[in-house]
Amino acid sequence: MDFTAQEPVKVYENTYQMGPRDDQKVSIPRVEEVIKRVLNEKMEMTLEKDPTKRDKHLWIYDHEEVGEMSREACEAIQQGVKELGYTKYKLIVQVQMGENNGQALRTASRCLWAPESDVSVSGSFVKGRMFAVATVFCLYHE
Amino acid sequence: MSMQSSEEAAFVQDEVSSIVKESIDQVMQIATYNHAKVPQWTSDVIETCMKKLTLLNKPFKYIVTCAIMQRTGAGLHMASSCYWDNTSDGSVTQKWENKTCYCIVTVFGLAI
Repeated sequence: MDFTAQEPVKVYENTYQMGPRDDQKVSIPRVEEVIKRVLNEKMEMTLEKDPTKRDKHLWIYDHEEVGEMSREACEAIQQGVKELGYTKYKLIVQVQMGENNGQALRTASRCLWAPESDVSVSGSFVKGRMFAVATVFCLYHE
Repeated sequence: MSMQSSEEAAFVQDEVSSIVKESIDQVMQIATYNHAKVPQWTSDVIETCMKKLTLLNKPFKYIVTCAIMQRTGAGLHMASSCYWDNTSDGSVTQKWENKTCYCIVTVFGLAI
């Protein structure tokens, strides 16, 4: 006889739920707060001012450092939103960080989804030599 | 009742990548950076992308993001982190540039 352990096949029962219940829906202000908090934390060090020269920022844009910062910000925002406990949602977090050089940047997005249950939240941070834009998309999934 | 085979419901990167590239080329080919026209361009690129993606007729929710930036020598980093199902969901990013501007388009596809 074959006794090799096999994982039992999981059979999911129907919940007959078509969309998120009211208590499961994403709260936009809460997500906004997470985004703001994380961006402020990450960007704090770019605001360090030089005490000897007025209005001159100490921090200089460094390509790799900013790359690292944007990845960390992404992870931190994702972690923060996961901790808010929206279990039925898939998350996509996008962060754009760059040098504030007087150039213009335009970001747009369109989504093909279910407007009653899915949301997008964004926040930005523009100060000193840096700007950062973060967007979180939350999509309902059964 | 058996579910549809997983090949149909998986996110095919190459297909979507070529659609995105075509859409950007179509709209931005003759473009020199013009501040007033940028909103129009971003909308056009995204709408073109979306229309072609829906023609694929797959059971997916799509998010298309487009960023257009003037080329002044400044650096830009874009990062994204996703909490989804690795087997069925995916994303594609396409970078495009000319002498005056950069255009970055990202498509996220999530299975329903």
